[in-house]
Amino acid sequence: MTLTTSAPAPPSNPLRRKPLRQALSSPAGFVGFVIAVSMVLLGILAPLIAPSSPEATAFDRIFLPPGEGGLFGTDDLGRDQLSRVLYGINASVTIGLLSVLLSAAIGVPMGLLAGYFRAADAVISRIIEVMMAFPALIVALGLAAILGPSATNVTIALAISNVPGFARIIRGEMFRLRGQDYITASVALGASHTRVIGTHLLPNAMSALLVQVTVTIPNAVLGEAMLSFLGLGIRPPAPSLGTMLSNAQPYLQSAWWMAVIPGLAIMAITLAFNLFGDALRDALDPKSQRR
Amino acid sequence: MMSYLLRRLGHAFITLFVSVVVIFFGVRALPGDTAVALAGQEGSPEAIARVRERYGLDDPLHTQFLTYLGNLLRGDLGRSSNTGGEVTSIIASALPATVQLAVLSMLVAMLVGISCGILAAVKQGKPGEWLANGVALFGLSVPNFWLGLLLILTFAVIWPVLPASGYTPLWEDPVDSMRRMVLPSIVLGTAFAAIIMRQTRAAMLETLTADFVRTARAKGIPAGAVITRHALRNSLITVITVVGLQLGTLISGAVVTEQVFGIPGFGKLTIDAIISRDYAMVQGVVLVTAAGYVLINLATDVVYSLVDPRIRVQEGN
Repeated sequence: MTLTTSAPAPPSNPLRRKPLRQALSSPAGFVGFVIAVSMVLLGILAPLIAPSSPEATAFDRIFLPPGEGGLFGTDDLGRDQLSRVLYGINASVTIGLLSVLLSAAIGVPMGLLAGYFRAADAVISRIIEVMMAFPALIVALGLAAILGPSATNVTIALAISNVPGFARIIRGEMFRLRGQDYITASVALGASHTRVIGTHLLPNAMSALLVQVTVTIPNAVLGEAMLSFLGLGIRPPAPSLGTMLSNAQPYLQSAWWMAVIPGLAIMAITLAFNLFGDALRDALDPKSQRR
Repeated sequence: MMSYLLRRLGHAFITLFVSVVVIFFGVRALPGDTAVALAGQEGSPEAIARVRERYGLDDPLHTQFLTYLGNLLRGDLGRSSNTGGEVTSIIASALPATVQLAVLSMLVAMLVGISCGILAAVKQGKPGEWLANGVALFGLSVPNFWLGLLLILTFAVIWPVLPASGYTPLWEDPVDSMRRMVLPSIVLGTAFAAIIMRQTRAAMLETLTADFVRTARAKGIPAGAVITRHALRNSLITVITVVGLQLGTLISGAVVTEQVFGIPGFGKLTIDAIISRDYAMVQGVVLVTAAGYVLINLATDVVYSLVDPRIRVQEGN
């Protein structure tokens, strides 16, 4: 085992060092990071800072515009929109983060196996291809149909639909790294598969993984909002930004705030993560070749 | 070349077959009696018995699968448990609205996406690039159903110039049909515009530094012509592939867009089937979606490899 330490050191490309710090030093990346963290905090703190219960109805206070009816106004049942938005952010952020972690937990091992063992690649690549033949929403719709709509099922559905992305990124990274000299040297010195993967391949694929996590979160947040909007996600009266929007559609003419504010909240989350993800990607790849 | 095509065809066939298997077992994994599921929750005992016989649900599983495959090959996807109509013909009648919406939104997306992509690549470091990047970031981040609501609010409520919802077939009243498609196409096209913009920008940045572009400039060809006739044409191959690969996203987007604008297309059919637990219909729409995805994917790969020989060589890994 001590022999492996004499293998050539991994290439130290100055541009690949400390991508996180570099991403934060760009204005867009910094702003994105700050907003993303604030939104996550707002979501976590919702139960503490919300002025009232998100489900408390008040029929003498229906359709009050912002100002008169609190910061964000009230809805068709007199519920406080600010509280509902805060709890909605909580749901979006929780489902977004959890589902992405779940996707990574399934997708990363798949990509590792496919990228490292040629024999496994044939099978896993077909599995990935089949998974991709079912568009994200269709998977989610199917699960909602079979298991019934709920927050848990939305999380699972979004997780499944994002697995191929993780598997493909990691597989590609494995292909890229596998051919490099220090890996060949490590193998020649008798390092076991687990050692090569664990100490050389995986740490070097972390940056790509980090970018993938950051850019998948806004997709998952959008997915949750979309499914809830369609009535296949979080069930009313539980607050979700998506259900708030579908609830607002009939009252577009009279109560614009019901439609505008929850959408802005979704956009603040997705925009923030996309800004930060872009900065991170630029930091890792100066040519910034995007999908 | 031939072996590459055959291999791609083989992959497509395997993917399609596995999709069919997944759908077949997916429906049979439903909680409760499959016959009841396929006939609908309110199906009469006779209807349930008919379904049981039709799909051979008392037979062993492998026989059932063969029966299912046989029906499939004859284009028979069963009957909707809600309306009793044939799934195949219901899907066929819902497709024109979706195809019209998809084509129009792709046009919007390519128009906005390609021009913003060129702008961002050519005006690097200038306000033009910021603007184009901003458009792309917006397109990627905005929830499209919310954009739909905002557009309805703006162009149908505050300043009523366009209809808020509904659908008219193109052949009945072309003008009204197109008017109703304006807002939905913008909504569905926005996310694609962003993806196409980023792709165009990346490809353009690459081609703009290529030797042949420098030669063209050195020859004294006007800047505009160098960009459109030389650089853009060579960048479009990549862009077209990306467009092809986005079909899955397009279908998902169509579901929501049709829901917001009340368009009776394939997407709305999917949602309605799922909400009303019309499993025969769900099975049909999912299969059509998967098949569509596999076919488009195959077509894109083949066209791409015809245009760019490097792809065939690289496939070795």
